[in-house]
Amino acid sequence: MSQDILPPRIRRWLFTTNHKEVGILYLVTALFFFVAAGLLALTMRTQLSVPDNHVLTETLYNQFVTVHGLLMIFWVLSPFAFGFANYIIPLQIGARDLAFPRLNAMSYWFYLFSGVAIIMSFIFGAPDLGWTLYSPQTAIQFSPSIGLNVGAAALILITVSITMSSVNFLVTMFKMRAPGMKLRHMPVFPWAILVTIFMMLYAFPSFLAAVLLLYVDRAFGTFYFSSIQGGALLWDNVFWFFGHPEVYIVLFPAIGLIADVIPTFTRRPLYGAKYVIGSMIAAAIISFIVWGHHMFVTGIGLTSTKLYTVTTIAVSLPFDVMVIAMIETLIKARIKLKAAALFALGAIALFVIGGITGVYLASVALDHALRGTYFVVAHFHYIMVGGSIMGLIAGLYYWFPKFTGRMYNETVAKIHFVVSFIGFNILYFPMFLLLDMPRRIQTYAPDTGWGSLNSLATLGGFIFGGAQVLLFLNLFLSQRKGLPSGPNPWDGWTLEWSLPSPPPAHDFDTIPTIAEDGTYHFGDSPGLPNGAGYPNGSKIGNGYSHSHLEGLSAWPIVVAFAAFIFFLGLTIGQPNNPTTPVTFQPFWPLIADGAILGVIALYGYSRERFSVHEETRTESWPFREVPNVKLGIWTFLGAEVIFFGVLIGAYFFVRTNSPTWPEIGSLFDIRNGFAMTLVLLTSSLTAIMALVSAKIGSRNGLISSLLATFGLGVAFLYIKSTEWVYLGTHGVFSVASGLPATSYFITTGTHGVHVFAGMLMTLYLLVNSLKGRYLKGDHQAIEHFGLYWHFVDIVWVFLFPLFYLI
Amino acid sequence: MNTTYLYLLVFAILVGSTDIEVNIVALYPSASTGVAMLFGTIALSYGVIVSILLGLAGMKALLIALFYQHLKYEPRSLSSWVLIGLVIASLLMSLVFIQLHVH
Repeated sequence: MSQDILPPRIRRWLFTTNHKEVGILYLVTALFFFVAAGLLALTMRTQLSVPDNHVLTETLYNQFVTVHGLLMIFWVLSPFAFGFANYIIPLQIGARDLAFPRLNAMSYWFYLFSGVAIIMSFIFGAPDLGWTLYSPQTAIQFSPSIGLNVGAAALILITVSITMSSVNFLVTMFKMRAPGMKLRHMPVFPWAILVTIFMMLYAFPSFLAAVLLLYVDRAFGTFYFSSIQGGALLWDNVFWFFGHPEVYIVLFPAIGLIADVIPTFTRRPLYGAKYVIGSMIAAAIISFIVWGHHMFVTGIGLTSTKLYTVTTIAVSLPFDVMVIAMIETLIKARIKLKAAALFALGAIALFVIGGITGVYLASVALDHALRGTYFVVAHFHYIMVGGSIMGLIAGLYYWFPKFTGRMYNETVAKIHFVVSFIGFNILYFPMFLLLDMPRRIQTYAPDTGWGSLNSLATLGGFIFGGAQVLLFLNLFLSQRKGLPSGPNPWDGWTLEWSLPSPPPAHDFDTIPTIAEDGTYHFGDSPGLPNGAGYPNGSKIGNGYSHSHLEGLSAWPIVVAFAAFIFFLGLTIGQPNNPTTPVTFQPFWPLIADGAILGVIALYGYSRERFSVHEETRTESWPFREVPNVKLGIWTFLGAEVIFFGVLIGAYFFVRTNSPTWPEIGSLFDIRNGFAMTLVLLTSSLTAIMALVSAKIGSRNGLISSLLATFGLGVAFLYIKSTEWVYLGTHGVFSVASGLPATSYFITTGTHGVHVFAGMLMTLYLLVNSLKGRYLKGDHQAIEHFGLYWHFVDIVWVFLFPLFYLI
Repeated sequence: MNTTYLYLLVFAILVGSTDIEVNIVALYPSASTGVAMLFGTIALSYGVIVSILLGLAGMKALLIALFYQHLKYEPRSLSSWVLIGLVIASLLMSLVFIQLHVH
């Protein structure tokens, strides 16, 4: 695609794949959404400031509450942290970029367009039932607005973005560390991101499956969440399975960042750093077995309640270790109270309050009394805003000189901290005292006695919100007129401070090496001991370099835009007030445009000559012998396992809760299932024979094997579609005729989409193999395709007995 | 063994076990009291049959992963990576079902 028609400045930002620029894009976009979500919050606070207030209607208030929560959690907290991660982590581990730069850019554009979609949902009547999207409120009869469908599309898009990003960071951190940098040498911030990514890989596919089921319930009239057998309990399980780890997903990057900031400003290494990392890992694991504490009042049973009480209290222990380590680091230290340090300290203090009040909620008795009240609102805002946002602002001040090469105004920044800290506590502390005020109410009567505390909270809200104007003004003016910062204004210890500010496009002239004791070495220069600073930047050696206008690609933004309009087309064609249960009325022009553009863009993406500079010497334990792409594919398949696991889990859930289920063979012809299984197993054999042919250089073998794989894919989909049509036209059942139909059509349909995607890949490989590609040493693409295709086969190996034989 | 023969052998096992899966359905207790065998009539309980079917599916998946996806020949770090991921995922899924059962 010709990119030269655009001015270089625009080209650079639209088509960049450089990790630092993508990081800046993430940060700026996250801050934009931060402002948007903050304005929604201030309007809500205005509404609640006095009793019987009617600034906002009830519907609009509910929409503001919901979109505020969704924006902050999905579009602000994690992307804010991943802005830093994008920019800083390759620098801290001594890499020149992420493993897959174009995928990284695509992650960003998916994120941006998903954010556009969630804001666009206001046009169609935004989601209005809280960020938890509780069932059965999401059922079409209770929430007929298509804004919720658009919101679901936005959530699907951002989940795709996060999954791509997770795979990319994981491969980068495992495979591209500077020579000698063992995992134990990595600073705490990359460790925090690594642990976060693991949680993302397990949590977000679950959420993706949950939102998909929510969407099909609304669009096709299926019954996952609108039936008694599935309903609220099914949603609670799949949502909170994701939702509680999500708390730590948004928190850990801030903790890791604080763990980098505090040692820099105290001039002492982090006390018990390895225990801090170990605690993060422990908390991450436990975080997946605490979700039931959000369901104490749903009647999950005494045994489950006890289990979740214990695990919830247990998950607080690793956080105790982290906080104690930071306090120990501070004891008797001569801390330089710069703005970054102040925000880090403030974040720790507020997080402790949020954490302790969270332990209260682990108690079943207290949870029964406090859940759904403003006490909970105060608790999670002390974690999310106090711990996470304050920590991330510390990062903004800490790395601003590195990003821009200029210093911000320290006095204004300190005023920003003081006003923010005071405003925050005036805003949220009164909510702890509003023990009896329900969340999400639009207004309240004067005789409730809640007025004064609400007025105080609103005052605090405006102080806190106003303080952020100082942040933006300070950073905006400083990046233009601030004093030059030099490479290392804080005498930082980690590798990013060894580079000029801002670093060159290629980061390192010479990749550093890390000695066994953790000291860094550049070329032949003597090692620089930790804490001595890096006076010269990386101007040592004359190695690799490139400019900001190299490595551009237009395809990531085009692919993301195609997905955006495709999903928009899926959602906006439906009527706002449906009269029939089945309401799927897509806006076909947008769907067609999105699909066509998507296929073209993906083809262009795969054909583009884009070389990724790979270092010959990297520290890549434990995956030294595994190529980057293969590790990425296996990691992606891991996410797919969770995705299908949740779909199958939902099937089990509704089936075991149903008093009756159709007899085996009464709905589906076992012979069809058997035939499809044989077809797919055979296609796996032909796929592996394609690899064998490629390896031995047999062009004819390769082409015929790929052709057979494609043909068998067609055969599978043909049998499947025949079965679907038969079931539909013979009145056996349609997608909306009950839970057996719902679970069958959606689970096998999702699998069918995967088969279709695999067939497109086969077609692409076939076209290239006709041109003589993939033979002998060039067979990796065939192998990678096979990994995916065999996975799709494995999924069917389970679906066949589950749906046809039991 | 020649890799092509190995792949064909795996394929034969996969097809054979699918055939067993399909035929085992006849052993359901509701299916006219089971199947007449050499030493009498066999009728397995529903739970046993479901366990056998899921066990066979697990075995087939393992064969595909080991031989077609080459996990058997990959470095131990990668196979452990996949195995650990699957174990954690299975444990987490099991928790949902245990909770459901308790409920």
